Amino acid sequence: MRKSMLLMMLVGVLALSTILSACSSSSNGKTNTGGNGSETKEQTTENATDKVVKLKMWGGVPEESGPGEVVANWNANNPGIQVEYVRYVNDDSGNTKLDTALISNTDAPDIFISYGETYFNRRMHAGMTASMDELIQKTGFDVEAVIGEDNVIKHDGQIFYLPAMKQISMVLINQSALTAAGEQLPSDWTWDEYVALAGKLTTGNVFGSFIEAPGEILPKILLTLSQPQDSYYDAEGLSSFGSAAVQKGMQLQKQLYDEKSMISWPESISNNLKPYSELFTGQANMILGGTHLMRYVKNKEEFPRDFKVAFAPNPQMEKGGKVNIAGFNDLMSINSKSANKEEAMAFISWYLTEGNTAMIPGGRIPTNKQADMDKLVELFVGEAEDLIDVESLKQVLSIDYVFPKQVKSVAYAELTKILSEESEKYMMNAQPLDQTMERVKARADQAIQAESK
Amino acid sequence: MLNKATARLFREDMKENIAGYLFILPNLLGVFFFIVLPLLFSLYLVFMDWDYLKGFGGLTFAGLDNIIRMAKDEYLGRALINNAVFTAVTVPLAMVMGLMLAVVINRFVYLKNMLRTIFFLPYVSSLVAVSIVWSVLYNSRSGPINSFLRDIGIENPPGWLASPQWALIAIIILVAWTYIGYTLVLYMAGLQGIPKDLYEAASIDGANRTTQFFKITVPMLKPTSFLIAITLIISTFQVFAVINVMTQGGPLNSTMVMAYHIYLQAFQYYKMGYAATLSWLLFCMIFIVTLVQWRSQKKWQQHF
Repeated sequence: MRKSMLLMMLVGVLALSTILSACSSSSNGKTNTGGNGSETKEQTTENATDKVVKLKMWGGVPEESGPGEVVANWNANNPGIQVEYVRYVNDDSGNTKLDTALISNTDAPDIFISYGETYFNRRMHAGMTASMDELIQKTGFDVEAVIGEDNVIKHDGQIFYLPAMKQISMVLINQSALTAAGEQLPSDWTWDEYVALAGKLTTGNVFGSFIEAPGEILPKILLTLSQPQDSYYDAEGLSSFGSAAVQKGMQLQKQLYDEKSMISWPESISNNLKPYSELFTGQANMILGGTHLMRYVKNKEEFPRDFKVAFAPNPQMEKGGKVNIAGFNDLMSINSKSANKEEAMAFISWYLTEGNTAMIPGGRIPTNKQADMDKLVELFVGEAEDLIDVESLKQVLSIDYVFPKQVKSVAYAELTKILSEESEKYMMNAQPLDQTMERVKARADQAIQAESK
Repeated sequence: MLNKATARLFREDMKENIAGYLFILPNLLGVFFFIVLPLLFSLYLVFMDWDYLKGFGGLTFAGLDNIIRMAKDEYLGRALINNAVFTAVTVPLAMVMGLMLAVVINRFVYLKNMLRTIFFLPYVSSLVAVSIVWSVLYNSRSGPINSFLRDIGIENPPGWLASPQWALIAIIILVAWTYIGYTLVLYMAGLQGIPKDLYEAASIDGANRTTQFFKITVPMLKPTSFLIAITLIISTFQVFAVINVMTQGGPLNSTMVMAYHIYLQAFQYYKMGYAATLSWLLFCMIFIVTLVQWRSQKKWQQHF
């Protein structure tokens, strides 16, 4: 009895000690307990890492669509600074994962890419992004020559990110359907004309248009066109949702549904329809897309098709407008807790000047102003000339656009949700237009006030 | 002498207890750090606003703001109603279907185990995978369900997930379907525990099958039914994965439920404090429902 008791205690204590030692070894990497063999092993790896700086970069692009090649190129030429790419999925849970990684003290990323100002602003306000001005000076990176000072939004006069990608929004059209309808490819057009063309491109069971709800809805797009800078907010800092542009957007989108030029709002959401698959599988003849869809355009295996895709620029509020609703993205920042900020900046500076060329075939246009347009289009198109109307693509890419800028992000996610919810009610005939306009403004103002309190 | 002996026994007891606690200590630590601590922390969050990106420095005192905000939350009411409807329909549906299937399958001599496995499969399958498959089935234009309905002559089949009137029903059908396996297995085990002589006696007295079912089977299965009702009510109140994959609360908020509302507040709007408050509201509701059930359980038991 006594003996077995002792034995049990011993086992219990042993079990506990293993757990405790396992914990401590993972947290500081140096354990004094344990066998000699493991200790010497750790020692050697530590010596080896003294010379090589290891950087972790987090981004949302799948490794095979460019980042893998970028990192391989860099690592081959810089044995002293080895970069490891970690992919996170750019959705709510993926961004939460990045946030928690940034908070943690172990395994935190040194470089991370935020997609859109809303995510970036949150991280910057939380003090996660290092101020880059000094680092930029040290590495001799020329922001003005490569990206343009105006294309980086500064906070308190300091730079906290550098954009790596210029996304260009455009309209993709099935060229055969366009020819069959006897229409010309539009080059300078308005949303009214878009809706009219959508009607003409609707044939039998193929819709003339597809715009992804609730992400890319016309009320939001027209608001951006009418007010590219901080489109969600008015001069008093309240919501701009009561504006005529929002109302016009709602009416135009409703018209697309009512005239059956577009699959109904709830069906497009519940079936999780995506613009590229709608176009390439022949469900819709015209979609609102952008350069980010390039890798699907080129994908013959998954989307076999017998028509070319033609490209038209963003429709505008009025003719002659040059606003593009996409813009600078892939916002690269350095973790303020990173121990190797200078090395991280060296990588970023290389990436922005030449490294991101490897991202072009995947559909990401570098922010580098000196990039050669012809070469860019060539890389962009690759071997897919039979699927793409190259001339119109070149045309759309070479326009000198005005891009939206977002400095404020008060309750941004909530405002987006409010706009799409109220639009949904109108689109599904659950609420008349005037009431929708009233509610969307009132709710948005309330959300802003609650947040800024 | 006697005292000495009891004292020794007591000491032995103590030692044995300590040994026992040492054994469960690793698990206990896990429970403490990963369940008890977060639980207490979420209660603390009810009275705080938390910008979690700033770590613990992002905590600011909010007083009763989070609780007051619930009164102004127009989606809360909708979510609660949807939750109530969802649970009130799904649980009885899964129970009745499971019981009927159990009675039928129990009569089978062959294939019994195979059928039981087949019905149980959805319950152990990944809910996310199941939801994705069902959203294809529910596709209002080209989905198999609506194609079938059109084939048998229904001209305007329901829009299922695309229709505010049908979306919740569509989700109830799917979830009930996954739970049938669970209720079926428990009921089959329960049926095995009913003595055969009860049925024999009843048939000698001239009771037909239907009477036997309602007078013997159903009452004898009361403890099983009770267990199923409690576990299903608790889990249906927390329905989330299906909603997140299939409808995201839409269309027109017709499938907005508490768990999804909490998720939106926490991970889209980053209102951790308010999300914690809503979580505690949900907890209290489930707790009260379960408490009421326990009370009534005691009354039931007195019949036997």
